[in-house]
Formats: sequence, structure tokens, C-alpha cells
Amino acid sequence: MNSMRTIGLIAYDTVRRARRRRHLPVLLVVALAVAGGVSYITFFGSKQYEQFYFQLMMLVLPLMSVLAAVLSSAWVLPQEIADRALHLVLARPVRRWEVIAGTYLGALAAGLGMFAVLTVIFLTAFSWRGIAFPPALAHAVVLLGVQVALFTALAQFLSLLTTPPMAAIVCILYYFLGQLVQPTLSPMLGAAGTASRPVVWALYVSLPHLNYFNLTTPVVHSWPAVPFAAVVPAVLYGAGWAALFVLLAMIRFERCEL
Amino acid sequence: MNERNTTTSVIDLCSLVKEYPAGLLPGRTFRALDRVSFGVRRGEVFGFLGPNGAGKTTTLKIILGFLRATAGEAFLLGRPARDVAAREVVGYLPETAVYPEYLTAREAVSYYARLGGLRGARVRARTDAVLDLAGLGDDADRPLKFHSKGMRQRVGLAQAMVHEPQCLILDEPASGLDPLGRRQVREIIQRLRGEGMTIFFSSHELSEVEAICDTVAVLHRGRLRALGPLDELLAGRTGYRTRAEALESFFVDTIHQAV
Repeated sequence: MNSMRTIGLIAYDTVRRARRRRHLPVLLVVALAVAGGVSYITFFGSKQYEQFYFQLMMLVLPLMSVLAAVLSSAWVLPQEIADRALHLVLARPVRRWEVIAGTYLGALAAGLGMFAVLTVIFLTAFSWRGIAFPPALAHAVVLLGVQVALFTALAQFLSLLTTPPMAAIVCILYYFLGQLVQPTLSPMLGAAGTASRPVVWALYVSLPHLNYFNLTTPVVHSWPAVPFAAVVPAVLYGAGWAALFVLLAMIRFERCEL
Repeated sequence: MNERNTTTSVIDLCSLVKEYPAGLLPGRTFRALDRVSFGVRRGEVFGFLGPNGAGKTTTLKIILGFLRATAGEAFLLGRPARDVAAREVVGYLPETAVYPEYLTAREAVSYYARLGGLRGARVRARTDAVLDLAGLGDDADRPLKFHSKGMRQRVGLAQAMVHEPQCLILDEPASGLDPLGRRQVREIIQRLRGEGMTIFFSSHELSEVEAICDTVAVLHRGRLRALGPLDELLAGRTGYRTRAEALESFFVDTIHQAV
């Protein structure tokens, strides 16, 4: 059967399942409460208020989107294996890599859908308070979307190695620690001796640098917009990592005994 | 990979061995299947019997490519079981499967029909046909969460048949069903048998096996203990009120001899 059609069917089913999980409405309510609550704060001056709002948005939006992506992705395959729904799929002429690709795309669609809704909530709150959108906002949103894609793939891969809660915990921990990989290891790489240099270099290249997707400072301080081409390397970097994790998940799943 | 050119065998198992790791120490294994070989002929209803833990489900999983055999090979219509094309001809009903509860029976069966390669109007036509065959025509548009266990099992049978397979593999199809549900499932299997469908089903419900099977294999502790046409296996057993009783006696004796 046509692989694209199979992947599409599985992805659509994964979105249907994700829509029925309770975490998405909970995250939505939290984001609404934050965006709405902050709109009533009046003790800042106008400029400070804008910066505070942007800061909060750049804290809440990526965290909630990554949480949505991880929670949508980490439970999909283990749950389907546990309740044998996956057996019904794999008893058809469906290849295992098609299952991984389909569930990844479905979880990604759910995560990006949540991300889009959260973004709209914050932008609506901006408009309501008459705050001009920061010039770097579009770039930031694109990079956060790439980060969602990366964490969806990471959560899926880890869920095939360990339990879903453990996969989710590792992903959330890495969400915070991953911001520090490049700033910490880059100076160490220059200063490392001959013996330790290979270890530092291995760590440097084997861990995704999440700070590439973080445009908090340009957004908060309303820096002038840079050409969109400037974020393309970061987009490709994130897409490359996501593709690598999906590929690793495919290799792992091919060997899984169900 | 090997290919078998069989005209009569739908399922062919050749010296299947399956070992699982036993504990953390490398090299320690538990042998779940030990050189199991048999064939299921086209149009045959084949009963695969064994007590709990005999290795029935492991065998089924190898036939469907969910597990890799440690040694030996399984074939479906001459193709290695792990070949994805081999599964085009097979319908599978697991012992317990959770169907998406938010879907109606029609939506669930349509989904599996599309995964099975059906398209367009054919999906609708086949879905309606198998839902009617499973006796679910009136309940097809109710969400599965409102279906009883027996109805869900019939939804399972419907999804297994929807893509017009040549062979049905049923794992404990009557498991957990009340007498009415069992009867309904048995009637469906008998109807399919009448249409010439090859049916391979594992069970420890001996009355079901006696009622519908042509050939029986008995598995115990991973080894094949008996194999043959039901009539031949029960030939020497007289003095029982029913054939089901004779089969039960044969089954118990076979297991005891093995122990």
C-alpha cells in the first residue's frame, strides 16, 4: 500500500487520540489564566509592562508547547502496545517505520496545534492591551515550533527505551538543561586539554543546543527584525535533530518485540 | 529471504523456536517454543489448543511478525511472515484489544479497512457488509464505549474480515463472552467456514473447537504434543456422551502424557 496514505491514516488517528487526552485542555486553561491574569496587572509603567508581558510569554509559551508535545508523544506508542491496538494496525500490510512516522506526525500536529492556540491566546492579549508585536516575534514563533518538533521526536524515541513518565521527565529536564549546553561547553571546548577535548567535543555535538531556538532577549527588548534567512540555520539544525530522533525511533521500533 | 511455493498451505511453520531472556544474566533463556512445525491448509478450520502458557499466543505473534523467531521460520502463503506483503492476506483478532472508544463501530472498522488497503466506495461497502455479518448493523453508529464486551468482540471479528483476507487468525475469539456471545461468534466462524475461509484459531474452549474445527494441534510447554484431523485424533475414544467430552479427555491425556 502507498506509504504516504498509511502514514496519513495513522497520523490522523494519533491526532484523534491526542485530542481526547486530558493534558491539552489543562495546559490551555493554565495558559489562558496566565495570559488573562497578567492583563490585569497595573503596577508597571507602560514599557516595563510590555517587557514583563513579553518575558512571561517567552517563558510560558515554549514551556507549555513543549509540555503539550511531550505529553502527546511519549504515551502514544507505549499505550498502543499495552492495549494491543498496535497489533491490529501491524496485522495489516503496514511497515513499522510507517507507524513511527505516522504517530510522530500525529503527535507533532497535536503539539503544533496546541502551540498555535497558545500563540493566538497571547497575541490576542497583546492586541487587547494595545501592545505592538515585537519585531522578532515571528522568528521566535518559528523557532519555538521547531523546538516542539524536536521534543516530539525526542519524547517518542525515549518512550521506546523507557516508560512514558520517565521519557517525559527526561524531556522536561533537557528542556531546561539544553539551554546551557552550548554556552557551557563552547568555552570549555576552547580551554580543554588534549585528553579532555574529545569528551567535551563529543558532548558538544551529541546534545541539541536549545539556546538556538530561544529568542527571548530580542523579543523582550523589541530588537529590530533581522532577515528571516538568519533563523534558517537554526530551523535546519532543529529539523535535523528531530529527523535523527525519528530515525532512531524507527531503528529501535524495528527491533521491538510486541 | 526464503520463499515457499506452497499451493495448499496458507500457514507453514518450520521448526519454530522462540527463546526469551530469563533474568538479567546473559545466556540464560526461557524456551517458549521448541521446534514447532505444522501447516494449515487452505479452507481448513484449524484449532490450536493448549493450556495457559503453552506458547499459543507466542506462535500467533510470530506468524503475524510481531515477534522474531529465535530459529526456524513462519510462512504465510509461501511468504516469510515478517514480509509486510504476507499480511495482506490475513485478518487478525487478538484475545483482548482496546478499540478506540470514541469511534463508532463503523468508524473503527472503516479505519482498519483503509489500513488494509481498501479505498473509496469499497471501504463503505465492505464495512457495511462485515458489520451486517457480525450482527452489528443496528449498532454500527453507536460509539464503542456503549458496546458490550460481546459486541466489541464482534467488532473485532468485523475488522479482521473487512479487507477480505484469505485467512483469519483468531486468538481466543470467545474469551470472556457469555453463552449468547459465544454462540454468535461460533455462528460467524461457521458461516465463514462455509464460504471457504481458512481459519486458524487458538483456544482452550474445547466445545468451540469440537464444534467447528477440522484439524487440531495441541501445544504444551512450547512443544507440539498432538496434531491431526479431529476425527482421527478422537477415533479410538468411545463411550463418551458427546464429542466435546471425548476431545476434553484426549486433551487432558495428551497434557498428562507430556508432563
